[in-house]
Amino acid sequence: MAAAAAEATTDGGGKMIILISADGKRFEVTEAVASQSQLISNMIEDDCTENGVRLPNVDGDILTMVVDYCNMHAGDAAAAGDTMKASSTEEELKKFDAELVQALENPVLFKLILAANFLNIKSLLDMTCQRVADMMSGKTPEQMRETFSIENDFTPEEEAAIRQENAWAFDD
Amino acid sequence: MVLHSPIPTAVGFGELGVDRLSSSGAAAEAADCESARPPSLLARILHCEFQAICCSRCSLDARRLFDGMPPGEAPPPTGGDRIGGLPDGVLQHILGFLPPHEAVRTCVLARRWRHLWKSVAALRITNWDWRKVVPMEEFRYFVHHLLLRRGRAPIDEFELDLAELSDRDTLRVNRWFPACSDVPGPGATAGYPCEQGIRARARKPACRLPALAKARSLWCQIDAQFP
Repeated sequence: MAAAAAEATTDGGGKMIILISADGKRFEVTEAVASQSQLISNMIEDDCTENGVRLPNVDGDILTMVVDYCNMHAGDAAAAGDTMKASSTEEELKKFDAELVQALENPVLFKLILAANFLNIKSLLDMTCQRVADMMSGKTPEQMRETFSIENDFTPEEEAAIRQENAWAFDD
Repeated sequence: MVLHSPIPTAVGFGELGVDRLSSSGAAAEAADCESARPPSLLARILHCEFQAICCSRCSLDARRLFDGMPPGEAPPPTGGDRIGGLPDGVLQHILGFLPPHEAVRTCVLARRWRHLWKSVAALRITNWDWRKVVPMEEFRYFVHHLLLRRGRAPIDEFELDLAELSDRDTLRVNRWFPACSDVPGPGATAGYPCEQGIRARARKPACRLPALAKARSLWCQIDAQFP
């Protein structure tokens, strides 16, 4: 009986936590899912998630993605005990992650990065930052400015001087 | 690990004198700035080699153009829909995923990007890519500049992946990580020699490059195993 009761609580994933986005959308997730965010994990530890967790700088559509991501990855952790299940999940996860970041338009990608940084979800932050780095890699500074709408606020003389100063990195 | 902005290391550059490294004597000065400690061996070695390089390569003095410019700038208060809306710490995290030479080249993008690369906390140095192995002379020139310009910026993750090293090259590479510190730091490390080259990894929270004790001891291990 005692064993069955213990299993029931693990299966249920423990307490549910409500996340509230900036535009008032509510997401109900298990503690296991939510605690992938170090921020929320700390809040759970401090027992201050009773009335829902308000996230005033994360929009509902971005939080939807974050919750999807955490749901997928929490499932991975739970299945880790089962080797067969875990290996198939790992492949599915890779596919899910790749599709998630590939499909994003720049503005959404940056918002997702901000959310991952704010919520402190390292794996999501690494994955999204890696995506931006991949987009930068192999591009000239001019191409980077164009891709990311970076305004060049140097005068031509200043830019030339900085190139000269760092010529050791520009020599090819 | 939340990457706050602005991060203190970026702000601290001016005070540490790292920003003046290209003027002669500044390397020793930067090494000296840590109160009572004598200049580290690394700083002295790099300084000598750097001076030699500077004599032949440097010409235009960019410093004067930027006299009034602060070394680090806060992110503009835009929404998060552009790369400019990301805090400095996040941009540096992104730069950590780029090969170092590409990360350095972002210095010309705009004022805000000028010094960002210097305090990137992840350093992955390699002398080869899928196309070719970079000639050692060229590679040394690059790494010396990279390490000097970075100065004392904290480093969390360090990776070295070098191919086709001669015995002489190995000795030279060793000098990048001389015995600057005999205090072993916390953190896990792993290193292994691979065919015709060296791979090393070091992870150490907030260690500084000139005191990369773990990499040093790791290097000795590799040296011992490496024919």
